[in-house]
Amino acid sequence: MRGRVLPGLLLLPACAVTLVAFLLPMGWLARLSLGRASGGVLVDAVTADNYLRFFTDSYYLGVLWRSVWVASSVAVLAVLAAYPIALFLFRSRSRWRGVLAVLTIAPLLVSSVVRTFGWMIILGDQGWINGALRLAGLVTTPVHLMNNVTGVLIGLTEIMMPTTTLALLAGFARLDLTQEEAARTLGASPWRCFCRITLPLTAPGIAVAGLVTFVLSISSFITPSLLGGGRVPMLASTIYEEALETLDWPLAAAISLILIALFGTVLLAYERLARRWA
Amino acid sequence: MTGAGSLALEGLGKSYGEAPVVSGVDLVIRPGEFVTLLGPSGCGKTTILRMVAGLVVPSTGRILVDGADITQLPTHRRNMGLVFQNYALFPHMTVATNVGFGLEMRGVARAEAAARVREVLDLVRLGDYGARHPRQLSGGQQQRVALARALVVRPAVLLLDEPLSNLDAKLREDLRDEIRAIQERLHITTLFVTHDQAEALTMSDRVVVLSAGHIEQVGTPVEIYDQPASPFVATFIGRVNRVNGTVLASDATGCTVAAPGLRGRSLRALPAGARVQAMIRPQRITLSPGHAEGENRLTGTVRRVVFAGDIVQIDVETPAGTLTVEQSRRGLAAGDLVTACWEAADMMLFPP
Ligand SMILES: Nc1ncnc2c1ncn2[C@@H]1O[C@H](COP(=O)(O)OP(=O)(O)OP(=O)(O)O)[C@@H](O)[C@H]1O
Ligand SMILES: [Mg+2]
Repeated sequence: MRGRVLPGLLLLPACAVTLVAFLLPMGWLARLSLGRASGGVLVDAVTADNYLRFFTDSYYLGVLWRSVWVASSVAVLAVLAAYPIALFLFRSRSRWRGVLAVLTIAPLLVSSVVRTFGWMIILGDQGWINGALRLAGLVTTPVHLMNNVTGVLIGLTEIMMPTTTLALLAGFARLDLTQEEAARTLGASPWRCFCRITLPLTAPGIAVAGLVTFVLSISSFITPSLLGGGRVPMLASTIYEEALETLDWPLAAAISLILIALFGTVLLAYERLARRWA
Repeated sequence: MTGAGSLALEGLGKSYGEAPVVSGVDLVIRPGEFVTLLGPSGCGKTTILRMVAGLVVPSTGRILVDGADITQLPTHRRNMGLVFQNYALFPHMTVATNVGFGLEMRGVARAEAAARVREVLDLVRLGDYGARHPRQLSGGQQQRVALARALVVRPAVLLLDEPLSNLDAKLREDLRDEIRAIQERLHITTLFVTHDQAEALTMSDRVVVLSAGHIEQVGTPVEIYDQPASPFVATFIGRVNRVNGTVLASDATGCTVAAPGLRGRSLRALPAGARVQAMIRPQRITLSPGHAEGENRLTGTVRRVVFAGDIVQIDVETPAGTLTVEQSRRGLAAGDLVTACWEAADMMLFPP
């Protein structure tokens, strides 16, 4: 009897926190998204106007589309860049493995605001890259690497990479180095061994890392705002603007719920994929 | 299927940093021979096997298959069949795909590959399991899939690294016989690694006893059991009683050894005056009640009698130390006065 009640009791605080900090606000948000604001003042109403507006206004549809493709691109780029690193860390028996692992995730210790400013110094029209290109005589007018989508992609990819690497490593559990060795003794060249053994066995890691990177990128705010220079509006920055500048809280709430629905869709797709591997 | 190559190791050695883990290994394995590497944990058995497979680069020496030097050849061009201790089956492939992997890599046509996979699965008695995934198999079945996967490519040499150590005792004995039968049927050159002496003695044509990275002795199971080349081999293979003594006199047929309470005769001649260790196996000693005088006789008191089913193990305290005796005859009890006696041929002498 006690054996069954106690675990339940232990779950109570977590349930209470989830209720107060997540479920209640979500309910409130849902209700808010059905309301209407007029001149920054909430009017008592129940309407689907906010959703209709989002899905008919080409500006908001543009924001949605841009967010999805930027986040997808960042997920692909970050996984591509982090995969060799993660594979090396997973395989390495070197004494330096620990140091390398710490170096890989060290950027997480620095706020992404600071790291974004770092990228602004590098990518700006007067930045290091353009400086170097000018010095080398390759360009006369600066190449615009900032205040546009290019800057957002570069900055966001790098900022996501430590997290992507960790997610990849977490998903490599199925890979066993003796399986690769077995493939090699059976006549597989390194490349074929990679295609037939390593890649399929690390696919779950790639999926998890892609998912995590996508979700974090599509909801990121700082980096797209700063490196996009306000010219690359994405979902998070739009929510911010609607809530705090236009003071249209109901619309901001509706966009928030749309973003959450997007997460749900992606998670569901991942779940399908994961079940195939299980 | 024939895949018999000869394998030769010449001065093979491996060091990690300063310390050599394998040194000066010379060994020739004839086509179709079953040779076992036997030694305690950490003596370098796996390292030798992995050097042959190309997974570890030797520090010194050469590896030859049918006379051709393959030391520099990358793993995937060596045509070895390696069976891992943990099987290392590919979890994302069916049993049939696992087994056919080597053929796929060799570009064997589909129809032929399928036929060969079926044939080898029948050979390991897993004919109906081709469509399953490895995780749906028992340990013994996984082991047989791993064996089939290595056999199907008709490797020049079959390499087995403690393939039975993860299985329970009964299954281990069954698979032991099965592997040996398949090996003989296919006449495939085999290098087998184990630290289990029973496995080594029952399966092998020849046994290589290793200690700390070097070869102690190479011989047939009977040779290494009856004529161990060193105290290490004598104590590692089977059990022995040790008695410390001195050589009294030596002649053409052997020598006489003195130890407290014992005047022993051995067929091995060592110079007079030398200090020696005499070793006698527990089953080679017979016990008779009371005190008796004579060569290779040692009188003592029974201290302990342990019943172990087929045999009784008796500890006898003598002036030369405690002797353990194994015999099938029962009837002795602690406190009895007995005389232990053995043949001159059964007393092995080694310098201490
Ligand atoms: N990569 C390595 N780096 C350093 N030392 C190693 C390495 N691989 C093996 N060794 C050492 O080499 C020695 C022999 O190892 P090996 O695996 O060949 O032993 P083994 O005879 O197979 O033992 P076991 O019966 O336990 O499997 C061990 O002392 C081990 O610590
Ligand atoms: Mg080993």
